[in-house]
Amino acid sequence: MSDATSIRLMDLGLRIVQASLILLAPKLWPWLPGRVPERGSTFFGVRVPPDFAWSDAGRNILRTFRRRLWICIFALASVYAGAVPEGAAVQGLWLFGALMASWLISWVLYGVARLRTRIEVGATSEPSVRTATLLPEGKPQSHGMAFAGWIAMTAPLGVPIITAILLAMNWSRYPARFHPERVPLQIVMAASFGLLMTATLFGLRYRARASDWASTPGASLRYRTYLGLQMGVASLAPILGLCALTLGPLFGGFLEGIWFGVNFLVLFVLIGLIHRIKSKLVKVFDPQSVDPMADHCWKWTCFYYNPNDPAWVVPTRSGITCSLNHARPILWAVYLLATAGTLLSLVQVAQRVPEMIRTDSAIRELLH
Amino acid sequence: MARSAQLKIDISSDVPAYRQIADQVRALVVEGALEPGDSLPPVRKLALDLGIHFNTIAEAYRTLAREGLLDITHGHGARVAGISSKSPDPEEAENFRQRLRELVAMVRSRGLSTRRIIGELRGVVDGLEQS
Repeated sequence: MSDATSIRLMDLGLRIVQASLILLAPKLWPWLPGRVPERGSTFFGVRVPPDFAWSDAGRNILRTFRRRLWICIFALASVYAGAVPEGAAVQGLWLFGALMASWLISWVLYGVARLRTRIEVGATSEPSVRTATLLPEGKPQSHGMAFAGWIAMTAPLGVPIITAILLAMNWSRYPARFHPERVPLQIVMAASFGLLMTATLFGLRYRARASDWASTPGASLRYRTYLGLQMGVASLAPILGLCALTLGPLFGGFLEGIWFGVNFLVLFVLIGLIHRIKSKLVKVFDPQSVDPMADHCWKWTCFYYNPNDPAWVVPTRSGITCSLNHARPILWAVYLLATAGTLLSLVQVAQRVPEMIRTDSAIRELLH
Repeated sequence: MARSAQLKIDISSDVPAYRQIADQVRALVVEGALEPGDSLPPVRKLALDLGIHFNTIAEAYRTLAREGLLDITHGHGARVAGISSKSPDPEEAENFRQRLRELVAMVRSRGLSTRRIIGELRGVVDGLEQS
């Protein structure tokens, strides 16, 4: 087989893998219905009678939503596979854009299904009774679980901070050919994402309602700890990767070598861990629970905004995973810092696009 | 067996939330579900669990502390003090009479007979004393 044929075959294989990723993406978003058990009291984020999901109207809405989602995502993946240019760096950017587009498509279709549900169900009464326990109930959390939860909470911010300290201590040794001027922004990007995760996990542990997610305060704490572990583990994968690549040149490629050697293994372990935690989450979750907050607190289908609620983190309307209370000023501060970090990083990536295209062309010329 | 003390508030009710909380904690103390020395949850935690403002809980705790049912010490939170055995002062007695008058007037206006009101009151008092 000639070199050109192998390159073409490799390119085709890469396109198929990337298109499959786009097809799989909606399966990974937990807020889409049908993935895990949900609250029976809500359907596409709308308050409904308990048996609505199993009625003809409910099934019809869900079927239509799934059909439309599948058609749109399949069309997107096909267009991507046919149109994406050659070159690993540019393909990475295209893949990111396609994944964002698939997220947007899902969100719009979710909004359409939500509207249909609202029209079908009409006005429903909102619960006005809220309960709390005055005396502690159930066993306190084990030390092991508490420690694991604490690590999951601090690691997303701690890893970039430790990386920054290591870099500062060895800055004079950083090789000039690895563009040290780009390093601070890479650390800022990792730290801003880590800050958002740590704030969310702190809110989930210390600023969330004991009556949410599960039927007892003890079970709720267990659910929140598992959810925190799942989110912490999932966020660690990109943070560890970015920090390992940033620190790599300091250790003469040693760290990069280790990272490239183990990153797939680490990814598989993380996915296995996330799956295991998910099965525990399903066991603790109470599908009979009802969203105690008024419907008007939910803006644009998924953003919770309630200035009268001291909670930082609440369950989504379907009860799966969590949403931040966007009315809390402390979270706005975290959002601002995280957005500033992300924007700075995007500017840096945008500045590097011409260079990435040039590198891709040079590699293509060499190979052809 | 572990004791359980649940608090339930209705945010659509005409009765202010702080009074609903104070009334229920008072009833729990009188019933014995909360015993002298029991710690109540911190203001922030209870506000978080009920999804209402901290000041509402703080006001309920202050009301109960003024009545002598709660001990509030800085750094130790709120503890149940028990039921006071001394007679209420004249101002408090007048306040109680006023509230009772309003309550009786409200149920009379809704058609309950005097005999029925007396029977209900006796039932409530007997129930609290027996528990």
